[in-house]
Amino acid sequence: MPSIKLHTDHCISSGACVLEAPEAFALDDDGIVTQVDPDPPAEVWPKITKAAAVCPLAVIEIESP
Amino acid sequence: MSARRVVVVGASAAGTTVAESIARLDREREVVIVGDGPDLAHDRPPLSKQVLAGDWEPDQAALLPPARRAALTARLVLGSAATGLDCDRRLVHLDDGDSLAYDDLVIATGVRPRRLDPATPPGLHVLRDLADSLRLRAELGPGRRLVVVGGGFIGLEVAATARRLGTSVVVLEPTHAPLAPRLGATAAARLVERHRREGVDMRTGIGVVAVETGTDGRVARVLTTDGAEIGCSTVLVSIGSEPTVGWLVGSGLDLTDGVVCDEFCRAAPGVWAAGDVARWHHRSLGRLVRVEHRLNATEQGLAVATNIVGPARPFTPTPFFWTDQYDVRVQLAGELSPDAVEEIEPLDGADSFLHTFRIDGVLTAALAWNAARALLPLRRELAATLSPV
Repeated sequence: MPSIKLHTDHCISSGACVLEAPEAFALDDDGIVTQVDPDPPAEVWPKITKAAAVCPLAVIEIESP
Repeated sequence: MSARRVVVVGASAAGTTVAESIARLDREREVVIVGDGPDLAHDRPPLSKQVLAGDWEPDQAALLPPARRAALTARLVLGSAATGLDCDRRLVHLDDGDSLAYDDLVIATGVRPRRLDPATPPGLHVLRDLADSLRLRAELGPGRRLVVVGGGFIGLEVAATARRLGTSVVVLEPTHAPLAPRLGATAAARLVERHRREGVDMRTGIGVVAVETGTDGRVARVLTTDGAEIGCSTVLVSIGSEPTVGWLVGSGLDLTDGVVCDEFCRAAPGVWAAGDVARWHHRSLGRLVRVEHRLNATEQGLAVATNIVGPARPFTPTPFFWTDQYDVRVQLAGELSPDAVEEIEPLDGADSFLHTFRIDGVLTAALAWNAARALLPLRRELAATLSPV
């Protein structure tokens, strides 16, 4: 499975990722993106890819295995 | 038969989003990005904050991180301004005399800052691109005085950053309640109060009569409508922006306050617009809308790319923007209306609030003050009405 890298210093709390893929992403107490599940199941990955695309600031980086 | 070509005019957030999205949706399509700068633009929100403060070097404010930048398959035509559009022949004319043929054209040329007058003496600034931010950064710090003309988002973000750097800051804002139409009266007043507590000299109901220069040609003072003379060497003019549509005059497109588009963000057959420059028919809001906020550039860029590849869907985003000033992050989703009833809920922890705005009990807008996570369910509620799937 690919892995997710989060460039959290660029997160502006738009929540676009959470709205797209709540199974994968959430906002922490400071409103910054965190990963909900360190090992997302296969069926969530299309949503993760979409979330990476809708993030306005390219915070979510999907690294191929 | 050659590949269908999408020409994107504008190398900033909306333009690069279109390019990346087309590549993801249809690898066979050729994409060309035309930009009038030396490279893709930098992401603009950090230019009034992290970059201006010196916390980030410019490359940290790149629109695309290195891996994504390297993966961009679009052809870049840089240092090139578009000078005209022939919709019948599907040609974009460039300033070097060349023309680019397209199957689809995306207009993503954004906006330009309004100025008080055409003169640009040293010390007089606007803030739109990286060079503006670095020039302004060099004039901030202890012992310096900055006068901000216009207390909107850019002006107040710069005021906060400048203050953090020890600059003496005066803000001149003609209205009596800066940002009230954008944040509602309560949150706007709380923000203004925060600026005053941080030592910003916030002068509301005051406008600029003139910016005067000294014998050295540099900015020397600002004359105000209440008769004050404010000595300063640095002035930021942040009085709003105009859509960059001059190059489209004569194209036959409706250029009233931006490039006017239908609900699919289409201005004419094969001509689309995205980002700050686009004025499109928002089907849920029932009127033409032009949004100068960062998230819309990405959302609309995605929508235009999807519509080009097809099938086209109406673009009905839930409006959203944010502003960061001092340690406060304010976000607003939805649309404020004078008819709405505001309710304010303080949340756990100091300085955290959720404001809701309802008309006849129906949620029409929600504002988070250091409450990003709590805002999410309200944004879903707004999206259910404004952005039906």
